[in-house]
Amino acid sequence: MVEKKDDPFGFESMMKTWTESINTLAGGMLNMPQTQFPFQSPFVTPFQDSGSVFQEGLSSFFSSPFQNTMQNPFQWPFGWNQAGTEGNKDASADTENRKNTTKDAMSAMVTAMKNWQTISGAMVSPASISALFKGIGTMPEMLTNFAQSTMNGLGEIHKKLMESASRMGESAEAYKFDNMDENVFHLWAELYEKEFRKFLHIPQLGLAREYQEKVNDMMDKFNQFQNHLAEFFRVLSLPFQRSAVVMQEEVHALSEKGELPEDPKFYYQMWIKILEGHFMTLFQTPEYIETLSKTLSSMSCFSSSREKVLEDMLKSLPVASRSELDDLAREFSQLKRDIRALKKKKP
Amino acid sequence: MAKFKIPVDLIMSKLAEDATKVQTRAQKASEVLLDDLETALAQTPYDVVYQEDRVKLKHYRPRKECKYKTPLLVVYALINRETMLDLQPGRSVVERFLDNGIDLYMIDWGYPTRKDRFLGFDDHINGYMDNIVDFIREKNNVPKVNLMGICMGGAFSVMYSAIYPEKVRNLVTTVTPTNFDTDKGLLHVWMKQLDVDAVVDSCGNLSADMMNFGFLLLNPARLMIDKYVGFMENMDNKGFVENFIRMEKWIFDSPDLPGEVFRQFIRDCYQENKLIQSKLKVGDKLVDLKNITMPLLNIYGKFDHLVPPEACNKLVDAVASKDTEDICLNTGHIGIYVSSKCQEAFAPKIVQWLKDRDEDIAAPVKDEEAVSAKEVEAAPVKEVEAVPAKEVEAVSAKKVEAVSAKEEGVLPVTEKRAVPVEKEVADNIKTEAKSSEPVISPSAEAVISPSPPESEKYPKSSTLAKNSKKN
Repeated sequence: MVEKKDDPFGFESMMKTWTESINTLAGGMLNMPQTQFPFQSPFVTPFQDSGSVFQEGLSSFFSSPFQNTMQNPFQWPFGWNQAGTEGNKDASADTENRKNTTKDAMSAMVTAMKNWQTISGAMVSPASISALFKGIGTMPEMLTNFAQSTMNGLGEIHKKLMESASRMGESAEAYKFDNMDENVFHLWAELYEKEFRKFLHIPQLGLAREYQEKVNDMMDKFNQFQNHLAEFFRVLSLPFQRSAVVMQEEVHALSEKGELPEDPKFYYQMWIKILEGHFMTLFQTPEYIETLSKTLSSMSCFSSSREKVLEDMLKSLPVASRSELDDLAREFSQLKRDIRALKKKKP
Repeated sequence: MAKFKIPVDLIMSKLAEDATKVQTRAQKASEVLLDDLETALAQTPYDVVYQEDRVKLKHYRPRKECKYKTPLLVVYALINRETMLDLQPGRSVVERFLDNGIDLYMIDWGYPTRKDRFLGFDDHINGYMDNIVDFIREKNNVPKVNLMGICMGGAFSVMYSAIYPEKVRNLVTTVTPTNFDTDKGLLHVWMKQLDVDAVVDSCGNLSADMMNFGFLLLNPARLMIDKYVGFMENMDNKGFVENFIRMEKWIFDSPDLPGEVFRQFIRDCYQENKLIQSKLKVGDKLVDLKNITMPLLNIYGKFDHLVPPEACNKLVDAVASKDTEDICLNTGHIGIYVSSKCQEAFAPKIVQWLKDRDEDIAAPVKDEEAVSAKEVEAAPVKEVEAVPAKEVEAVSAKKVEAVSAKEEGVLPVTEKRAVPVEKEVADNIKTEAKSSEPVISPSAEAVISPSPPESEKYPKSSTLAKNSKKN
């Protein structure tokens, strides 16, 4: 092992050996019969004669991992690391080793080409090609459906938004909340329920299905919570909208009587009273109570769902999860009750 | 649309004038805010004489020799903190009790944590409260204690008195909800549809922030906007700022509510209204209100937006006690304890009421019934002072009707025992009625402070409506 104090991570060495191995590989290709390798590498020439010591070291960088990768694709990262380590080895390895590595590299390439030939042969059959394209077409079709649903939904929402915008102010009837314009929120909720939600309920398969299902459920609950929260805030904003209209009317009435006060505080006091009145009226409407109730419920559902996902994550860490602590607290509380009962029974 | 003229020029000139004032005020305000402000709460000295888990028992150091044989235990709600009764020197129910020679204990429920989420009514009433009452009985060597409950703490006190009547000498309930079947308060309306199981199962304890947000939503225009506008207008007034900050500290010093307590309170009380029907169970014990035979004083606020009068005024009819009194003060949920006018009517009234019922305490517990019977025969029948017409004028017509209806026969009219109204208290009541100081209205509950604009905002009426069920 050569120690290089100015290259603690061995990058320089790695680059050198990498260059060598390319050279080696290319040199091998040049001597190969045309039938086996139907092409010639254009970048071979500059390295061909270098014949340096570097040709041996990291030929393994390509050879071993390449072979490994072809045999077992999941092993490639380890093979790569291994090659990297080997690349740091002494570059002045013996000539025999150099020959062997070149041979290995060549045999890896030959194997790869043979595999490619096999695949190409199989693809000659029209049935295989059809099956392949059908398989490939499945995902885009799903994505297209999703995109189409999204675009249709957004288009519909946009249309309703425009309609609502054109009606803005028309529905502002003082102290009345029995005709709330909830179309946009209902539409979005309906669209989500019908079009988007189903994608989060696609059955999950395999080892991680349980976890994935919980994550999807959390996303679903989050979306529902967001829907309800937006609707809730929208309802809360209504008194502001309506009190502004009432304010206009009141000022108009005062003006007609010629009693408009000069003190700006008067207008503030008037507005705050009107606003308070609107809030008080709103808060007793069934619509508000339902919206509040839905928001709280969906928040609770999302919170529970999120906790399940977090608990799964915590399992792999050396910390107690909340449900485990809750179990302890429950048992502890029960024990305390039992002790209390026993103490009181004591004469 | 017809054209109308707005005096924009005059408004603008007024605004400009105000801008100068605002500038001066801002300058003074910066001096006030940077100065040392006295905003500490609960300064009356006390000792913690008992502790169990997070729950502590405070015993206030007497200022005078204790005049009464029976100690008073104050049970505050699990929502917010008991420091409200001792907000500041000079405006403290605790101070008033001590000045009148009451031996005062108060429960500090502490700050529940996640481990307390499974503690319900049973643990708090049959557990902590009962242990505390036993401790006081033993410490003071008395068979019974006086119990005073506030809001949810009042509901706990009612439950406790029904389960352990032998340990309670007198019961005082203040702004205590017992009848939840009403749509007068927004909380009562909202809680009916709450999926409490979902909330508790997911949250564990009910977080203080969530509760505070809910309380602010009860009147967002006042509590989120007007209150702070009022602060801005008075921030050059040191006294105002100190009071305001003190109240802010109290409002947002909120412990979480144990999950199981919240679940039971919402389900059994708000949604099923079991307490007033004597159907509620605390642990394995049934809360039968007919077990409440001790004297009962029930005080509530006419403008209480959290616990409306309708939620409080059914209690006296539901209990078996023959010595009950209902008092409706012209104030809100918090103003009853902190407004200076109510201080005059509230604490002294309780002190006097307890004093009148403290004399026979030396008698052995077994003989209590006999003593009461003798007293009943001997006591002169005394009419409760009628509310003068002038005082009633300012009260809304609706309330007058309600009071009249009660006086005409809704309440039992058989009078066996006098309810003495001491001159001092009666004078206080009259003074309050004549006073021009504003009563804190429900909408301004969270602004509790001697804010000058309040007198402009809210009606100056003030009266005290009373009903007594006398035996």
